[in-house]
Amino acid sequence: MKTTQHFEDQIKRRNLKREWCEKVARSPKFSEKTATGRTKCWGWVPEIGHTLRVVILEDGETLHTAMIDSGEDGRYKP
Amino acid sequence: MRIAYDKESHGLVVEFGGGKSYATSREVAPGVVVDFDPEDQPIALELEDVRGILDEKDIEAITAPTIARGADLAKFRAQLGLTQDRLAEILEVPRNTIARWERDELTIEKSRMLALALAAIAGASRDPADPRRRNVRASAVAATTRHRDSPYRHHSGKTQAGYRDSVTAQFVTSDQAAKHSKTVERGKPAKKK
Repeated sequence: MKTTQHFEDQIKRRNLKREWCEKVARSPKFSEKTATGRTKCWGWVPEIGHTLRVVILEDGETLHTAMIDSGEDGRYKP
Repeated sequence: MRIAYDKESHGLVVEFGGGKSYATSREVAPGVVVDFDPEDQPIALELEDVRGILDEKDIEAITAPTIARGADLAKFRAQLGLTQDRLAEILEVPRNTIARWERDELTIEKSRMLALALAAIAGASRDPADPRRRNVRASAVAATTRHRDSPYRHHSGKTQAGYRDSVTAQFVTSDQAAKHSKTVERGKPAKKK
């Protein structure tokens, strides 16, 4: 999948693996569209025991950012 | 404090954790994410899409500096057009504290760095009535308003009450906080099983 420079910087800073992000983006547990047409995806990553949240740009294929979600949206587990 | 902006994707990050390791994040308002270290202290703020929040000229004004020393803070303050008195008022600290930070006599706490970052992003020196700037300020409130009362707390089990209260006091009234909190809840996605 394509990525932005912002994505590369954030996964490096947050110690996230690209394959986790791609897996969540391809097979999210659930997702939603933002007002600007971007897509937020959530998925469980067993390797870290947390829910990962990935944002995809308006083109539907470029990863924009990712984070370990400890908020209310991060409570979803398999 | 380090600020990075990606012109292509409109993502902006403000780091103020002094190299502390990352643990988790929370989306405190749509597109506004706060990162926390393992001790549940804020270390960075991410705006996933600055469009509609910042003008290009505002971005130029805040992305240039790196604040590592007191002299950097003084330069940054000057770029924002803030006096020591005005910055002290925004951060709710004595003016002498600003002066001591700038002379490297005191270390700037992380919660103050977050407030400083938000002040810069919200354009504290410009028009405080601008609704877009108020929205960013309200995001600071939501950083812990949703979290503290939620059964789904951070893995450390700690609450963020002190941090929440300090940020709330600096940027909005409790009425504004309550209004914003309701807005966030209405905008939440439906649960999926």
